[in-house]
Amino acid sequence: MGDLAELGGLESAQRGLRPVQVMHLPCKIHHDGAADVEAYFRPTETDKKSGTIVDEKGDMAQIREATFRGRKLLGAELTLPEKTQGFVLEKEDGTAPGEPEHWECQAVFDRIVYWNFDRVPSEVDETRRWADWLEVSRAINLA
Amino acid sequence: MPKGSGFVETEFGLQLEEDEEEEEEEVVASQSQSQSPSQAATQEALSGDENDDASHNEDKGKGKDVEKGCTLEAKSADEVAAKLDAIFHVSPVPDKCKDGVPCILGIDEAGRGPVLGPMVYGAAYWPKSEADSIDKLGFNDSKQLKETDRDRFFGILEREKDRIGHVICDLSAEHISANMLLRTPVSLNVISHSTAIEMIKRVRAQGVNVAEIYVDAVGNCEWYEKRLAKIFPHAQVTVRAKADAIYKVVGAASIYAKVTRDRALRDWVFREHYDAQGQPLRRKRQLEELNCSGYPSDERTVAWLRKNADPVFGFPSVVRFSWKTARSMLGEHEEEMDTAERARLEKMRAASNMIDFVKVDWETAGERQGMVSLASTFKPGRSSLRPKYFRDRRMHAVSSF
Repeated sequence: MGDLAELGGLESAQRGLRPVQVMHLPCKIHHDGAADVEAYFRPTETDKKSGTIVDEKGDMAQIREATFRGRKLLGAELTLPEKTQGFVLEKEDGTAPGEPEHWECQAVFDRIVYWNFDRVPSEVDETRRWADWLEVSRAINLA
Repeated sequence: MPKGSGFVETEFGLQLEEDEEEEEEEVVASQSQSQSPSQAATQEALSGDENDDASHNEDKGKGKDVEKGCTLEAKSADEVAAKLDAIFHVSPVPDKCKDGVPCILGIDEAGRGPVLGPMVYGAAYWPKSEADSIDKLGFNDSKQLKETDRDRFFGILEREKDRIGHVICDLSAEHISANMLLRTPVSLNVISHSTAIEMIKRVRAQGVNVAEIYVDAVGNCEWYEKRLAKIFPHAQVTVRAKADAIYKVVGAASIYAKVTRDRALRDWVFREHYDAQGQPLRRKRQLEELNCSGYPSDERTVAWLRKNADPVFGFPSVVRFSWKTARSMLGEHEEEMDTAERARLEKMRAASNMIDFVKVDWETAGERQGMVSLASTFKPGRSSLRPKYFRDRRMHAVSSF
Protein backbone atom coordinates (compact mmCIF):
# COMPACT_ATOMS: atom_id res chain seq x y z
CA MET A 1 0.00 0.00 0.00
CA GLY A 2 1.31 3.40 -0.85
CA ASP A 3 1.61 5.99 1.81
CA LEU A 4 0.51 9.48 1.15
CA ALA A 5 3.39 10.81 3.21
CA GLU A 6 5.76 9.71 0.49
CA LEU A 7 4.20 12.30 -1.73
CA GLY A 8 6.11 14.86 0.31
CA GLY A 9 9.07 14.12 -1.91
CA LEU A 10 7.14 15.54 -4.81
CA GLU A 11 8.28 19.07 -4.25
CA SER A 12 11.77 18.24 -5.33
CA ALA A 13 10.47 16.19 -8.19
CA GLN A 14 8.49 19.23 -9.27
CA ARG A 15 11.51 20.98 -10.65
CA GLY A 16 11.78 20.07 -14.27
CA LEU A 17 8.19 18.91 -14.55
CA ARG A 18 6.26 20.12 -17.50
CA PRO A 19 2.98 21.93 -17.05
CA VAL A 20 0.13 20.16 -18.75
CA GLN A 21 -3.45 21.06 -19.52
CA VAL A 22 -5.88 18.94 -17.60
CA MET A 23 -9.46 18.68 -18.75
CA HIS A 24 -12.44 17.19 -17.00
CA LEU A 25 -15.22 15.91 -19.23
CA PRO A 26 -18.85 15.33 -18.22
CA CYS A 27 -18.85 11.69 -19.16
CA LYS A 28 -17.16 8.48 -18.15
CA ILE A 29 -14.69 7.40 -20.76
CA HIS A 30 -13.79 3.76 -20.35
CA HIS A 31 -10.26 4.17 -21.53
CA ASP A 32 -6.93 4.63 -19.86
CA GLY A 33 -4.15 5.73 -22.16
CA ALA A 34 -3.29 7.83 -25.16
CA ALA A 35 -5.90 9.52 -27.32
CA ASP A 36 -5.77 11.77 -30.36
CA VAL A 37 -6.77 14.88 -28.43
CA GLU A 38 -4.88 17.44 -30.47
CA ALA A 39 -6.54 16.32 -33.67
CA TYR A 40 -10.09 15.79 -32.49
CA PHE A 41 -10.72 18.04 -29.51
CA ARG A 42 -10.98 21.62 -30.66
CA PRO A 43 -12.17 24.08 -28.00
CA THR A 44 -13.21 27.57 -29.00
CA GLU A 45 -13.21 30.68 -26.87
CA THR A 46 -16.54 32.45 -26.96
CA ASP A 47 -17.67 35.93 -26.03
CA LYS A 48 -20.05 34.49 -23.49
CA LYS A 49 -19.16 34.92 -19.88
CA SER A 50 -20.19 32.97 -16.86
CA GLY A 51 -22.76 34.61 -14.66
CA THR A 52 -21.21 33.38 -11.46
CA ILE A 53 -17.60 32.32 -11.95
CA VAL A 54 -15.02 35.02 -11.34
CA ASP A 55 -11.60 34.37 -12.79
CA GLU A 56 -8.18 35.16 -11.37
CA LYS A 57 -8.22 38.69 -12.72
CA GLY A 58 -11.56 39.39 -11.13
CA ASP A 59 -13.54 39.32 -14.37
CA MET A 60 -16.43 37.04 -15.16
CA ALA A 61 -14.87 33.89 -16.55
CA GLN A 62 -15.00 33.28 -20.25
CA ILE A 63 -16.93 30.29 -21.49
CA ARG A 64 -15.41 27.91 -24.00
CA GLU A 65 -17.18 25.59 -26.40
CA ALA A 66 -16.15 22.18 -27.66
CA THR A 67 -17.75 18.99 -28.85
CA PHE A 68 -17.13 15.41 -27.86
CA ARG A 69 -18.83 12.64 -29.81
CA GLY A 70 -21.05 15.30 -31.27
CA ARG A 71 -22.25 16.70 -27.99
CA LYS A 72 -21.82 20.34 -27.16
CA LEU A 73 -19.68 21.04 -24.15
CA LEU A 74 -19.39 24.34 -22.33
CA GLY A 75 -16.24 24.82 -20.34
CA ALA A 76 -14.64 27.06 -17.81
CA GLU A 77 -11.36 27.18 -16.05
CA LEU A 78 -11.03 26.20 -12.44
CA THR A 79 -7.92 27.52 -10.78
CA LEU A 80 -6.77 25.32 -7.96
CA PRO A 81 -7.15 26.91 -4.52
CA GLU A 82 -4.27 28.71 -2.89
CA LYS A 83 -1.39 26.56 -1.68
CA THR A 84 -2.65 23.70 -3.80
CA GLN A 85 -0.84 22.04 -6.63
CA GLY A 86 -2.00 19.40 -9.06
CA PHE A 87 0.16 16.47 -10.07
CA VAL A 88 -0.30 13.87 -12.73
CA LEU A 89 1.01 10.63 -11.28
CA GLU A 90 1.70 7.41 -13.04
CA LYS A 91 2.18 4.16 -11.25
CA GLU A 92 5.22 2.12 -12.07
CA ASP A 93 4.53 -1.49 -12.94
CA GLY A 94 6.15 -4.50 -11.45
CA THR A 95 5.90 -3.87 -7.75
CA ALA A 96 6.09 -7.01 -5.67
CA PRO A 97 3.20 -7.47 -3.23
CA GLY A 98 3.96 -5.99 0.15
CA GLU A 99 6.42 -3.53 -1.34
CA PRO A 100 5.56 0.16 -1.45
CA GLU A 101 4.21 1.32 -4.79
CA HIS A 102 6.27 3.67 -6.84
CA TRP A 103 4.52 6.61 -8.43
CA GLU A 104 6.21 8.79 -10.99
CA CYS A 105 5.26 12.38 -11.32
CA GLN A 106 4.56 13.07 -14.98
CA ALA A 107 3.36 16.63 -14.96
CA VAL A 108 2.06 19.48 -12.85
CA PHE A 109 -0.93 21.73 -13.17
CA ASP A 110 -2.46 24.57 -11.23
CA ARG A 111 -5.76 24.76 -13.06
CA ILE A 112 -8.31 22.46 -14.62
CA VAL A 113 -10.56 23.19 -17.56
CA TYR A 114 -13.80 21.41 -16.88
CA TRP A 115 -16.64 20.90 -19.27
CA ASN A 116 -20.39 20.65 -18.74
CA PHE A 117 -22.71 18.95 -21.13
CA ASP A 118 -25.12 21.59 -22.41
CA ARG A 119 -25.05 23.54 -19.20
CA VAL A 120 -23.39 26.89 -18.68
CA PRO A 121 -20.52 26.54 -16.21
CA SER A 122 -21.38 28.07 -12.87
CA GLU A 123 -19.90 28.52 -9.46
CA VAL A 124 -22.13 25.80 -8.05
CA ASP A 125 -21.04 23.09 -10.47
CA GLU A 126 -20.20 19.91 -8.60
CA THR A 127 -16.93 19.83 -10.40
CA ARG A 128 -15.86 22.99 -8.61
CA ARG A 129 -17.34 22.54 -5.21
CA TRP A 130 -14.72 20.29 -3.69
CA ALA A 131 -12.59 23.39 -3.62
CA ASP A 132 -14.86 24.83 -0.89
CA TRP A 133 -14.02 21.88 1.29
CA LEU A 134 -10.32 22.55 1.14
CA GLU A 135 -10.84 25.97 2.63
CA VAL A 136 -13.18 24.67 5.30
CA SER A 137 -10.85 21.81 6.09
CA ARG A 138 -7.93 24.16 6.57
CA ALA A 139 -9.95 26.37 8.85
CA ILE A 140 -11.12 23.43 10.93
CA ASN A 141 -7.84 21.62 11.13
CA LEU A 142 -5.47 24.47 11.63
CA ALA A 143 -7.59 26.31 14.16
CA MET B 1 -16.39 28.98 -46.15
CA PRO B 2 -15.56 25.83 -48.05
CA LYS B 3 -12.51 26.25 -50.17
CA GLY B 4 -13.09 26.66 -53.85
CA SER B 5 -16.71 27.53 -53.44
CA GLY B 6 -15.85 30.79 -55.09
CA PHE B 7 -16.44 33.25 -52.29
CA VAL B 8 -14.42 36.40 -52.17
CA GLU B 9 -14.23 38.88 -49.37
CA THR B 10 -15.30 42.35 -50.41
CA GLU B 11 -16.35 45.46 -48.61
CA PHE B 12 -19.92 44.22 -48.76
CA GLY B 13 -19.06 40.94 -47.14
CA LEU B 14 -18.62 37.66 -48.92
CA GLN B 15 -19.60 37.56 -52.56
CA LEU B 16 -19.61 34.79 -55.06
CA GLU B 17 -16.83 35.10 -57.54
CA GLU B 18 -16.75 34.11 -61.20
CA ASP B 19 -14.90 30.85 -61.15
CA GLU B 20 -14.13 30.56 -64.85
CA GLU B 21 -11.69 33.40 -65.14
CA GLU B 22 -9.81 33.27 -61.87
CA GLU B 23 -7.78 30.51 -60.34
CA GLU B 24 -9.49 28.96 -57.41
CA GLU B 25 -8.38 30.83 -54.39
CA GLU B 26 -8.58 29.62 -50.90
CA VAL B 27 -10.89 31.72 -48.84
CA VAL B 28 -11.29 31.60 -45.12
CA ALA B 29 -14.69 31.16 -43.53
CA SER B 30 -16.45 34.38 -42.75
CA GLN B 31 -16.87 35.39 -39.15
CA SER B 32 -18.61 32.74 -37.23
CA GLN B 33 -19.65 33.94 -33.83
CA SER B 34 -17.05 32.01 -31.89
CA GLN B 35 -13.66 32.97 -33.26
CA SER B 36 -10.61 31.10 -32.15
CA PRO B 37 -8.29 33.42 -30.24
CA SER B 38 -5.16 32.41 -31.99
CA GLN B 39 -5.88 34.23 -35.22
CA ALA B 40 -3.20 36.80 -34.48
CA ALA B 41 -0.69 34.02 -34.01
CA THR B 42 -1.51 32.29 -37.25
CA GLN B 43 0.43 34.61 -39.50
CA GLU B 44 3.58 33.60 -37.69
CA ALA B 45 2.61 29.98 -37.64
CA LEU B 46 2.00 29.64 -41.35
CA SER B 47 4.81 27.90 -43.11
CA GLY B 48 6.32 29.67 -46.07
CA ASP B 49 5.75 28.21 -49.50
CA GLU B 50 6.73 29.35 -52.96
CA ASN B 51 3.13 29.03 -54.16
CA ASP B 52 2.00 31.69 -51.74
CA ASP B 53 1.52 35.13 -53.10
CA ALA B 54 0.71 38.10 -51.02
CA SER B 55 -2.97 37.81 -50.43
CA HIS B 56 -5.12 40.87 -50.56
CA ASN B 57 -7.03 39.57 -47.67
CA GLU B 58 -5.26 39.42 -44.33
CA ASP B 59 -7.50 36.70 -43.03
CA LYS B 60 -6.87 34.27 -45.86
CA GLY B 61 -5.16 31.02 -45.20
CA LYS B 62 -2.12 30.55 -47.32
CA GLY B 63 -1.54 27.65 -49.64
CA LYS B 64 -3.78 24.76 -50.36
CA ASP B 65 -3.60 21.02 -49.94
CA VAL B 66 -1.20 19.85 -52.58
CA GLU B 67 -2.96 16.54 -52.71
CA LYS B 68 -5.06 14.76 -50.18
CA GLY B 69 -2.93 12.40 -48.15
CA CYS B 70 0.34 13.99 -49.25
CA THR B 71 2.31 16.57 -47.35
CA LEU B 72 -0.12 19.13 -46.09
CA GLU B 73 0.55 22.80 -45.94
CA ALA B 74 -0.42 24.90 -42.98
CA LYS B 75 -3.84 26.44 -42.69
CA SER B 76 -5.04 29.40 -40.72
CA ALA B 77 -6.42 28.77 -37.26
CA ASP B 78 -9.82 29.89 -38.53
CA GLU B 79 -9.95 27.21 -41.21
CA VAL B 80 -9.27 24.45 -38.72
CA ALA B 81 -11.53 25.75 -35.98
CA ALA B 82 -14.72 24.05 -34.90
CA LYS B 83 -17.82 25.27 -36.76
CA LEU B 84 -20.51 25.12 -34.15
CA ASP B 85 -22.51 28.12 -35.31
CA ALA B 86 -24.59 28.51 -38.47
CA ILE B 87 -22.71 30.54 -41.05
CA PHE B 88 -24.69 32.99 -43.17
CA HIS B 89 -23.54 34.51 -46.43
CA VAL B 90 -25.80 37.30 -47.62
CA SER B 91 -25.31 38.82 -51.04
CA PRO B 92 -25.49 42.57 -51.48
CA VAL B 93 -28.89 43.75 -52.67
CA PRO B 94 -29.06 43.66 -56.48
CA ASP B 95 -29.71 47.08 -58.01
CA LYS B 96 -33.04 46.02 -59.46
CA CYS B 97 -34.23 44.83 -56.05
CA LYS B 98 -33.74 48.17 -54.38
CA ASP B 99 -36.20 50.97 -53.67
CA GLY B 100 -38.88 48.69 -52.29
CA VAL B 101 -39.51 46.86 -55.55
CA PRO B 102 -41.66 43.81 -54.72
CA CYS B 103 -39.53 40.69 -54.86
CA ILE B 104 -40.22 36.99 -54.78
CA LEU B 105 -38.01 34.76 -52.67
CA GLY B 106 -37.50 30.99 -52.68
CA ILE B 107 -35.85 28.70 -50.15
CA ASP B 108 -34.55 25.20 -50.53
CA GLU B 109 -32.05 22.97 -48.80
CA ALA B 110 -29.42 20.43 -49.73
CA GLY B 111 -27.91 17.64 -47.71
CA ARG B 112 -30.70 16.94 -45.27
CA GLY B 113 -30.45 13.15 -45.35
CA PRO B 114 -26.73 12.38 -45.43
CA VAL B 115 -24.74 11.49 -42.35
CA LEU B 116 -21.71 13.35 -43.66
CA GLY B 117 -21.09 17.01 -44.19
CA PRO B 118 -23.15 20.16 -43.82
CA MET B 119 -26.79 20.81 -44.53
CA VAL B 120 -26.90 23.91 -46.67
CA TYR B 121 -29.84 26.25 -47.03
CA GLY B 122 -30.15 28.47 -50.06
CA ALA B 123 -32.43 31.43 -50.73
CA ALA B 124 -32.78 33.26 -54.01
CA TYR B 125 -34.82 36.33 -54.78
CA TRP B 126 -35.56 38.64 -57.66
CA PRO B 127 -38.05 41.34 -58.58
CA LYS B 128 -41.49 40.03 -59.37
CA SER B 129 -41.35 42.04 -62.60
CA GLU B 130 -38.28 40.11 -63.76
CA ALA B 131 -39.84 36.71 -63.13
CA ASP B 132 -40.81 35.93 -66.73
CA SER B 133 -37.47 36.92 -68.15
CA ILE B 134 -35.59 34.92 -65.53
CA ASP B 135 -37.83 31.90 -66.14
CA LYS B 136 -36.40 31.77 -69.64
CA LEU B 137 -32.95 31.10 -68.17
CA GLY B 138 -34.26 27.61 -67.64
CA PHE B 139 -33.75 26.56 -64.03
CA ASN B 140 -35.10 23.27 -63.05
CA ASP B 141 -35.06 21.59 -59.72
CA SER B 142 -31.42 20.89 -58.94
CA LYS B 143 -31.99 17.24 -58.08
CA GLN B 144 -32.78 16.51 -61.72
CA LEU B 145 -29.67 18.24 -62.96
CA LYS B 146 -26.30 16.69 -63.37
CA GLU B 147 -23.50 18.27 -61.42
CA THR B 148 -22.08 19.98 -64.51
CA ASP B 149 -25.47 21.49 -65.30
CA ARG B 150 -25.84 22.71 -61.76
CA ASP B 151 -22.45 24.38 -61.89
CA ARG B 152 -23.44 26.04 -65.13
CA PHE B 153 -26.65 27.39 -63.64
CA PHE B 154 -24.71 28.55 -60.63
CA GLY B 155 -22.56 30.59 -62.99
CA ILE B 156 -25.65 31.98 -64.72
CA LEU B 157 -27.15 33.02 -61.41
CA GLU B 158 -23.93 34.74 -60.58
CA ARG B 159 -23.93 36.74 -63.78
CA GLU B 160 -27.36 38.08 -62.93
CA LYS B 161 -26.01 39.96 -59.93
CA ASP B 162 -27.93 43.06 -60.89
CA ARG B 163 -31.28 41.38 -60.36
CA ILE B 164 -30.78 38.10 -58.45
CA GLY B 165 -29.86 38.16 -54.78
CA HIS B 166 -29.23 35.23 -52.46
CA VAL B 167 -28.49 33.99 -48.99
CA ILE B 168 -26.62 30.80 -48.18
CA CYS B 169 -26.57 29.22 -44.76
CA ASP B 170 -24.03 26.55 -43.92
CA LEU B 171 -25.10 24.30 -41.07
CA SER B 172 -22.12 22.10 -40.35
CA ALA B 173 -22.36 18.50 -39.23
CA GLU B 174 -21.11 19.75 -35.86
CA HIS B 175 -23.89 22.30 -35.62
CA ILE B 176 -26.48 19.65 -36.45
CA SER B 177 -25.04 17.09 -34.05
CA ALA B 178 -24.74 19.58 -31.22
CA ASN B 179 -28.32 20.77 -31.54
CA MET B 180 -29.89 17.37 -31.98
CA LEU B 181 -27.97 15.99 -29.00
CA LEU B 182 -28.76 18.74 -26.51
CA ARG B 183 -30.41 17.84 -23.22
CA THR B 184 -33.59 19.14 -24.79
CA PRO B 185 -32.97 18.05 -28.37
CA VAL B 186 -33.62 20.47 -31.20
CA SER B 187 -35.01 18.47 -34.10
CA LEU B 188 -33.80 18.78 -37.65
CA ASN B 189 -37.16 20.29 -38.60
CA VAL B 190 -36.81 23.03 -36.03
CA ILE B 191 -33.27 23.72 -37.20
CA SER B 192 -34.60 23.95 -40.76
CA HIS B 193 -37.46 26.26 -39.91
CA SER B 194 -35.32 28.56 -37.79
CA THR B 195 -32.75 28.81 -40.55
CA ALA B 196 -35.32 29.65 -43.20
CA ILE B 197 -36.84 32.31 -40.98
CA GLU B 198 -33.46 33.82 -40.23
CA MET B 199 -32.55 33.94 -43.91
CA ILE B 200 -35.73 35.82 -44.80
CA LYS B 201 -35.14 38.23 -41.93
CA ARG B 202 -31.65 39.01 -43.16
CA VAL B 203 -32.89 39.83 -46.64
CA ARG B 204 -35.61 42.06 -45.22
CA ALA B 205 -33.05 43.71 -42.94
CA GLN B 206 -31.25 44.89 -46.07
CA GLY B 207 -34.41 46.75 -47.05
CA VAL B 208 -35.66 44.31 -49.66
CA ASN B 209 -39.42 44.17 -50.09
CA VAL B 210 -40.05 40.43 -49.84
CA ALA B 211 -43.58 40.20 -51.21
CA GLU B 212 -43.81 36.48 -51.91
CA ILE B 213 -42.08 33.57 -50.21
CA TYR B 214 -41.88 30.06 -51.62
CA VAL B 215 -40.44 27.25 -49.57
CA ASP B 216 -39.78 23.65 -50.38
CA ALA B 217 -40.83 21.52 -47.49
CA VAL B 218 -41.04 18.03 -46.18
CA GLY B 219 -43.55 17.08 -43.57
CA ASN B 220 -46.35 19.28 -42.47
CA CYS B 221 -46.61 22.03 -45.10
CA GLU B 222 -49.74 23.60 -43.70
CA TRP B 223 -48.36 24.22 -40.22
CA TYR B 224 -45.10 25.59 -41.56
CA GLU B 225 -46.93 27.87 -43.99
CA LYS B 226 -49.13 29.27 -41.24
CA ARG B 227 -46.13 29.88 -39.02
CA LEU B 228 -44.19 31.70 -41.72
CA ALA B 229 -47.25 33.75 -42.64
CA LYS B 230 -47.55 34.83 -39.05
CA ILE B 231 -43.92 35.90 -38.80
CA PHE B 232 -43.99 37.64 -42.18
CA PRO B 233 -47.50 39.05 -42.36
CA HIS B 234 -46.84 41.30 -45.35
CA ALA B 235 -45.71 38.46 -47.58
CA GLN B 236 -47.65 35.84 -49.42
CA VAL B 237 -46.28 32.52 -48.18
CA THR B 238 -46.41 29.23 -50.08
CA VAL B 239 -44.98 26.03 -48.66
CA ARG B 240 -45.14 23.02 -50.96
CA ALA B 241 -43.46 19.70 -51.30
CA LYS B 242 -41.36 19.63 -54.46
CA ALA B 243 -41.62 23.42 -54.64
CA ASP B 244 -38.23 23.42 -56.33
CA ALA B 245 -39.82 21.85 -59.39
CA ILE B 246 -42.77 24.24 -59.39
CA TYR B 247 -41.33 27.65 -58.56
CA LYS B 248 -38.23 28.96 -60.27
CA VAL B 249 -37.10 30.97 -57.23
CA VAL B 250 -37.01 27.74 -55.28
CA GLY B 251 -35.21 26.02 -58.14
CA ALA B 252 -32.59 28.77 -58.07
CA ALA B 253 -32.32 28.49 -54.28
CA SER B 254 -31.78 24.76 -54.58
CA ILE B 255 -28.92 25.34 -56.99
CA TYR B 256 -27.21 27.65 -54.52
CA ALA B 257 -27.70 25.07 -51.78
CA LYS B 258 -26.68 22.03 -53.76
CA VAL B 259 -23.61 23.55 -55.41
CA THR B 260 -22.40 24.94 -52.10
CA ARG B 261 -22.72 21.59 -50.41
CA ASP B 262 -21.13 19.70 -53.31
CA ARG B 263 -18.14 22.00 -53.27
CA ALA B 264 -17.84 21.82 -49.50
CA LEU B 265 -17.58 18.04 -49.67
CA ARG B 266 -15.36 17.97 -52.70
CA ASP B 267 -12.90 20.37 -51.08
CA TRP B 268 -13.34 19.14 -47.57
CA VAL B 269 -10.44 19.90 -45.28
CA PHE B 270 -10.27 17.64 -42.27
CA ARG B 271 -9.46 19.84 -39.33
CA GLU B 272 -8.34 16.63 -37.65
CA HIS B 273 -5.23 16.77 -39.81
CA TYR B 274 -4.13 20.00 -38.16
CA ASP B 275 -3.55 21.30 -34.69
CA ALA B 276 -5.51 24.24 -33.35
CA GLN B 277 -3.08 26.71 -34.89
CA GLY B 278 -3.31 25.17 -38.33
CA GLN B 279 -0.06 23.27 -38.31
CA PRO B 280 -0.27 19.85 -39.98
CA LEU B 281 -0.12 17.01 -37.49
CA ARG B 282 2.13 14.06 -38.08
CA ARG B 283 -0.26 11.15 -38.16
CA LYS B 284 0.18 7.52 -38.99
CA ARG B 285 -3.03 7.33 -40.97
CA GLN B 286 -4.78 10.23 -42.66
CA LEU B 287 -8.53 10.39 -42.96
CA GLU B 288 -9.74 9.28 -46.37
CA GLU B 289 -11.34 11.44 -49.01
CA LEU B 290 -15.12 11.63 -48.93
CA ASN B 291 -15.65 9.52 -52.02
CA CYS B 292 -19.13 8.36 -51.15
CA SER B 293 -22.62 9.82 -51.34
CA GLY B 294 -22.80 10.42 -47.60
CA TYR B 295 -26.21 8.76 -47.38
CA PRO B 296 -26.47 6.13 -44.64
CA SER B 297 -28.14 3.72 -47.05
CA ASP B 298 -25.03 3.80 -49.23
CA GLU B 299 -22.68 0.93 -48.44
CA ARG B 300 -19.69 3.05 -49.32
CA THR B 301 -20.72 5.62 -46.73
CA VAL B 302 -20.92 3.00 -44.00
CA ALA B 303 -17.58 1.63 -45.13
CA TRP B 304 -16.10 5.11 -44.93
CA LEU B 305 -17.44 5.54 -41.41
CA ARG B 306 -15.93 2.23 -40.33
CA LYS B 307 -12.55 2.97 -41.82
CA ASN B 308 -12.30 6.53 -40.54
CA ALA B 309 -13.42 6.04 -36.98
CA ASP B 310 -11.44 6.78 -33.85
CA PRO B 311 -11.82 4.58 -30.76
CA VAL B 312 -12.06 7.47 -28.30
CA PHE B 313 -13.52 10.33 -30.31
CA GLY B 314 -15.80 8.25 -32.51
CA PHE B 315 -15.67 10.04 -35.81
CA PRO B 316 -14.21 13.18 -37.33
CA SER B 317 -16.27 16.36 -37.26
CA VAL B 318 -17.67 15.81 -40.76
CA VAL B 319 -19.96 13.15 -39.31
CA ARG B 320 -23.39 13.85 -37.87
CA PHE B 321 -23.23 12.08 -34.52
CA SER B 322 -26.96 12.49 -34.05
CA TRP B 323 -27.71 10.18 -36.97
CA LYS B 324 -28.87 6.70 -36.05
CA THR B 325 -26.09 5.24 -38.19
CA ALA B 326 -23.41 6.93 -36.18
CA ARG B 327 -25.09 6.34 -32.84
CA SER B 328 -25.55 2.61 -33.47
CA MET B 329 -21.94 2.21 -34.41
CA LEU B 330 -20.92 3.98 -31.22
CA GLY B 331 -23.20 1.76 -29.18
CA GLU B 332 -25.41 4.61 -28.12
CA HIS B 333 -29.18 4.34 -27.86
CA GLU B 334 -29.06 0.56 -27.96
CA GLU B 335 -31.83 0.45 -25.39
CA GLU B 336 -34.10 2.22 -27.87
CA MET B 337 -33.55 -0.36 -30.58
CA ASP B 338 -35.95 -3.18 -31.23
CA THR B 339 -34.73 -6.75 -31.65
CA ALA B 340 -34.54 -6.51 -35.45
CA GLU B 341 -32.34 -3.40 -35.33
CA ARG B 342 -30.15 -4.91 -32.68
CA ALA B 343 -29.71 -8.05 -34.77
CA ARG B 344 -28.74 -5.93 -37.78
CA LEU B 345 -26.21 -4.06 -35.66
CA GLU B 346 -24.69 -7.28 -34.35
CA LYS B 347 -24.45 -8.62 -37.86
CA MET B 348 -22.67 -5.50 -39.04
CA ARG B 349 -20.24 -5.64 -36.12
CA ALA B 350 -19.46 -9.28 -36.74
CA ALA B 351 -19.13 -8.97 -40.50
CA SER B 352 -16.90 -5.96 -40.64
CA ASN B 353 -13.68 -5.46 -38.82
CA MET B 354 -15.16 -2.48 -37.10
CA ILE B 355 -12.93 -0.97 -34.51
CA ASP B 356 -13.81 -1.29 -30.88
CA PHE B 357 -15.11 2.02 -29.79
CA VAL B 358 -14.29 3.05 -26.27
CA LYS B 359 -17.41 3.05 -24.16
CA VAL B 360 -18.56 6.49 -23.04
CA ASP B 361 -21.25 7.02 -20.40
CA TRP B 362 -22.97 10.37 -20.42
CA GLU B 363 -24.51 11.63 -17.25
CA THR B 364 -28.15 12.10 -17.70
CA ALA B 365 -29.05 12.45 -14.06
CA GLY B 366 -31.38 15.28 -13.31
CA GLU B 367 -30.44 18.42 -11.49
CA ARG B 368 -29.17 17.78 -8.02
CA GLN B 369 -31.31 19.47 -5.44
CA GLY B 370 -29.64 22.41 -3.80
CA MET B 371 -26.56 22.49 -1.65
CA VAL B 372 -26.26 20.72 1.64
CA SER B 373 -24.80 22.63 4.56
CA LEU B 374 -21.74 21.30 6.29
CA ALA B 375 -23.57 21.33 9.59
CA SER B 376 -25.83 18.56 8.40
CA THR B 377 -22.79 16.30 8.49
CA PHE B 378 -22.78 16.44 12.27
CA LYS B 379 -26.43 15.64 12.77
CA PRO B 380 -26.90 12.56 14.91
CA GLY B 381 -28.27 9.38 13.45
CA ARG B 382 -26.65 9.72 10.03
CA SER B 383 -26.63 6.69 7.82
CA SER B 384 -23.44 4.80 7.11
CA LEU B 385 -23.30 6.42 3.71
CA ARG B 386 -20.66 9.04 3.28
CA PRO B 387 -22.22 12.38 4.27
CA LYS B 388 -24.17 14.04 1.52
CA TYR B 389 -21.93 17.11 1.73
CA PHE B 390 -19.07 15.04 0.37
CA ARG B 391 -21.14 12.97 -2.01
CA ASP B 392 -22.50 16.14 -3.59
CA ARG B 393 -18.98 17.26 -4.21
CA ARG B 394 -17.91 13.90 -5.55
CA MET B 395 -15.34 13.57 -2.82
CA HIS B 396 -14.07 10.21 -1.71
CA ALA B 397 -11.75 9.26 1.10
CA VAL B 398 -8.41 8.15 -0.21
CA SER B 399 -5.77 6.45 1.85
CA SER B 400 -3.99 4.97 -1.10
CA PHE B 401 -4.39 5.11 -4.83
